[in-house]
Amino acid sequence: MKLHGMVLVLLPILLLTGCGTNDSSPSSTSTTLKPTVLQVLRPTLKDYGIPSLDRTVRDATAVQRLYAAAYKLPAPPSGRINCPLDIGLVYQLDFLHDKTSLQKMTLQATGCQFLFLDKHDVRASDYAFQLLFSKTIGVPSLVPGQSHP
Amino acid sequence: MAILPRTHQSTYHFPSHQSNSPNSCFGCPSVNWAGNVDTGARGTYRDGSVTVTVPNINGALSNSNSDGSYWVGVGGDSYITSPAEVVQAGVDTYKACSACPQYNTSWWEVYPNIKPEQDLPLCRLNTGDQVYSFIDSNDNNNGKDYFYISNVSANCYNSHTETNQSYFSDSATGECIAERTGNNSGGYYSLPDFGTEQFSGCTIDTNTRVDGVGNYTHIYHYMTSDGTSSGRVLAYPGPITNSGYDFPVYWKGGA
Repeated sequence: MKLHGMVLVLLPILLLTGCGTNDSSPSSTSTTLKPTVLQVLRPTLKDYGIPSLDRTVRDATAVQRLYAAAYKLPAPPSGRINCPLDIGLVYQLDFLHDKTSLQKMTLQATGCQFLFLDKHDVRASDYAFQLLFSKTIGVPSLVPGQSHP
Repeated sequence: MAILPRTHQSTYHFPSHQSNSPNSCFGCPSVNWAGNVDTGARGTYRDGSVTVTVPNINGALSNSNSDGSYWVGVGGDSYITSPAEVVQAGVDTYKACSACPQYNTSWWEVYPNIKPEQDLPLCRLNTGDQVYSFIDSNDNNNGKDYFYISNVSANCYNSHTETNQSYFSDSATGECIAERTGNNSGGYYSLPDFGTEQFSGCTIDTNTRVDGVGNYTHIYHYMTSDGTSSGRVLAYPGPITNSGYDFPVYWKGGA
């Protein structure tokens, strides 16, 4: 009985913690509540004449698609990286369920274009993700005036 | 000493500042690059070469894990174009602490589509050695990226070829750059005190023209702590000389 009781207590904990694996999916809190709103802020970059941008996306399907895509991105490769030019332009993302913030992220628009899911979880964004992000927030490119193929 | 912006008094004919991209910022700050960049439409710049001296990393490090690189490349200006793909080769200097030994490596890299720095080892790579680097990316549509590094002082070389077309440069830019390298935590290493790095014979090629970096439409970048003009200056390029081919990059700060 005692053992059975312990299993009943430990099983939910193990399930919640992912049994110690390096789970790349959103946190348990985030999975319970799916994001329905995305707020995006791009601070001004005076040196490059780039104005600030403040967007709110309320298309829950699009928001959840982007959210899922973010968690599917790989970690950056290990080793020293000579990144493309980094002008310091970033997008601050806040995924909300209605008015409750579930997850804040930061996307570097230039340079290595990493996506910071939080302080300790960094992902390497790719062109497909950058296009999806641009489309989701309704801008033609991450850097205004950029040329594309 | 007044350091920025650089005055444009040099011995070469200064080209008109026109770019095929609506984005052009002449003499702008960046988080990680200091040097000169030729700009144009995607597909313009295919080859590049430069000679640098392996610097002696001076003084006390402001932070541990200082890492800087000095390279020639085509593509990679993500302000001008997207997706930016940089094909590059050069020399890297690394020091883990002030009293630690200096490690020098020669390398090639295609980013973001392949991997970070890939070693292209030479017979030796000592402080003071002159190193010539050459890269090309789909030059005259030859279907390959080619990397060649030679230790001129030791008379030895190494090379590498990539044939996957997804590794080709965006070729919207050609550049010679001093860079503080990034790490997989999403941050940058501290820039080691390299003193003055002279970029000699910085030559950029299109499919039809071979010329000095200063003889095309070009911009320059200087490096600051946060990538803004109000940030602390870390490194900046001096005037281009020798008919558009040579310029120095000065170290100013580490973090």
